[in-house]
Amino acid sequence: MSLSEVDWSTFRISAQIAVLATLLCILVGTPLSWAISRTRPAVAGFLSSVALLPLVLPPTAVGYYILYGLGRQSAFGRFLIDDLGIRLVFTWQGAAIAAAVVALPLFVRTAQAGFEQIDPELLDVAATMAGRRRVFWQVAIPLAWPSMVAASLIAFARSIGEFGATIIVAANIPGETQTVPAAIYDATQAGNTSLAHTLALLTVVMGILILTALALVLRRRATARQAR
Amino acid sequence: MRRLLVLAVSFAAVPALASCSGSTDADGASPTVRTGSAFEGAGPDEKSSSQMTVAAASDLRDVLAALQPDIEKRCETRLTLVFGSSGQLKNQVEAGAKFGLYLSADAQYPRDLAAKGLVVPNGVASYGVGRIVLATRAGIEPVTAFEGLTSESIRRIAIANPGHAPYGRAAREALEASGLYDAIEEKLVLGENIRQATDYVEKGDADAGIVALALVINGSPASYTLIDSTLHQPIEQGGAVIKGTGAELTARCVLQYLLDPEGQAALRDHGFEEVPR
Repeated sequence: MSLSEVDWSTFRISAQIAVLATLLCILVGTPLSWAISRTRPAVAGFLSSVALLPLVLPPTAVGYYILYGLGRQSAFGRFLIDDLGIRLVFTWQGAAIAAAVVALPLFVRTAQAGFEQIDPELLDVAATMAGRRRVFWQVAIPLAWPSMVAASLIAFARSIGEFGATIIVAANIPGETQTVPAAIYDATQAGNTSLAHTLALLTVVMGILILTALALVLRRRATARQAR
Repeated sequence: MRRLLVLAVSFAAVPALASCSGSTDADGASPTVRTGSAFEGAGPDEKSSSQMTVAAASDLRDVLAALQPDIEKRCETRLTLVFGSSGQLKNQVEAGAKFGLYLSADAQYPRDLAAKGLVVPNGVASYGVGRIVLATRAGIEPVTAFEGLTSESIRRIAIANPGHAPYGRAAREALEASGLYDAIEEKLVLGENIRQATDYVEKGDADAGIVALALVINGSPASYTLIDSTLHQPIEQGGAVIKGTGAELTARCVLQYLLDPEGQAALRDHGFEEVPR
C-alpha cells in the first residue's frame, strides 16, 4: 500500500467521464425506455434490441466502432474534426461517449422496469385529461423516479469502471484521459504491483460505496411501492 | 449408465493417447540444423517441439510475418506469435507464461530474465539494433525535425509507453536530449506498444509520432525522417531461450536463424542495424 504513488487525477478523470456518461444515458435512455414500455410490441422489441446490443458486444468492439466513427478514418470523423473542429479521439469527452454506450443497456433496462411498474390504467386515465408530454412529466416521471435514480447509479457505476471501450477511444494519457482502470492496467503492465494493489483496493472501497447508495435507493423504491 | 460412461471415456481416451505418443515422437526429433552459437552449451534435457509460442516485441511484427514460413521450415515447427511491448512480455515470462522464445526490443530484459534463472545456459543473444523515426500522418506537411513538433498544427504526438516499451523510452530520451520534451509533453499519446503508436499515426488519429523504423520502412503511407541515434541509448534487440518449456532446442534454432546471414539480411531490410561487435 502506497498512497503517495497514486496519481489522483485518474480519480478526477474517472469521475468526470462517469458523470458525463450518466448524463448522456439519462438524456438518451429516458425517452428510449419510456418508448419501449409504451409502444407496440414489435417496435418495442426492435428498440429494446438496439438498446441492449452494447451489453452483448465486447467493449473493445464498441470502442473500435466509436474510434472509427469519431476519428479520421471515417468521413463522419473527418467532418467532425476538419469542418466542425470537434476532436473527440484521445479526449475524456470521447471516453465518456464510449462509456455511455456501454452503460446504456443497463440504464434502459432499469428505467424501463420502473415505467412498466406504473399501473397502465393510471396512465390511460391521465391521457384523457392531458397531453402526452404532461402525462410523461407529471405522472410517469414522479411515479418512476426511484427507478430513474437507480438506473443513473447503475450507469454511473458501469461508466466509472469501463475500460475496454474507453481505452480504445481515449488511449491512456496521464492527467488527461487516464482513468483509474487504465492506471491499474498500466501499473500491472509496467510491473508496479504495489501501485496496482493500492488502486484496486481503492476501487473496491468505491464500489462498496456505490452499492450502498444503490441499496438505499432500491429500498426507497420498495417502500414507495408498498405505500401505494 | 455409469458403465456406459466409463466405456465412452475409455474409447475417447484411445485416440487421444495415440496422438499423444505420436507427438512425443515428433517432439523427440531435433531440428535438422543444430549448428551455430545459439546451440553452444545446450543441455541434454533440452527438447524440440513441433509447436512453439514466441513472445515478440511488436517492432518485429512485419519482419517475423515475412520470415515465419522459412523459420518454420528450417526449425520444423509451427510458431504462434504473441506481440506486445517488451516490458509487458517480460512480465508475462516472469509470471510463468509458456513462451519458448522471448524476443525483446531491449537486450537488457533477456539478461534480466537470465539473471533470475529463467533462461537456458547460453540462451541469450542480440540480433539487431532498432532505430526510431519521426513520422507524420498523411494529409499534412511532413515534420522533419523535432522543432516542428511544437507547431500548432501538430496536436497529438504518438510514442510508445516509456514505462514498458523500449521505443517509447528511446523517444523520450531523444526528446529530452533535444530539450523539447517539456514543450511537447502535453501533446503525447502513449501507445501500449510501438505497433499501436505507429497505428495512431497511420490511421491519422495522431498528427505525428516517434515510432520504429521497422514498422514504417516497408510501404507505410506516412512520411518519416530518421532520428539521430546519438540522441538516445541504442535500442539493442535481444532474445532469450526460456528454460523448461520443452521447446528449448526449437527456440535456439529460431534465435540462430535471426543471427545467421539470412535472418540478418531480412532484419536489415526491415530497418534493423547490425549489433556492433
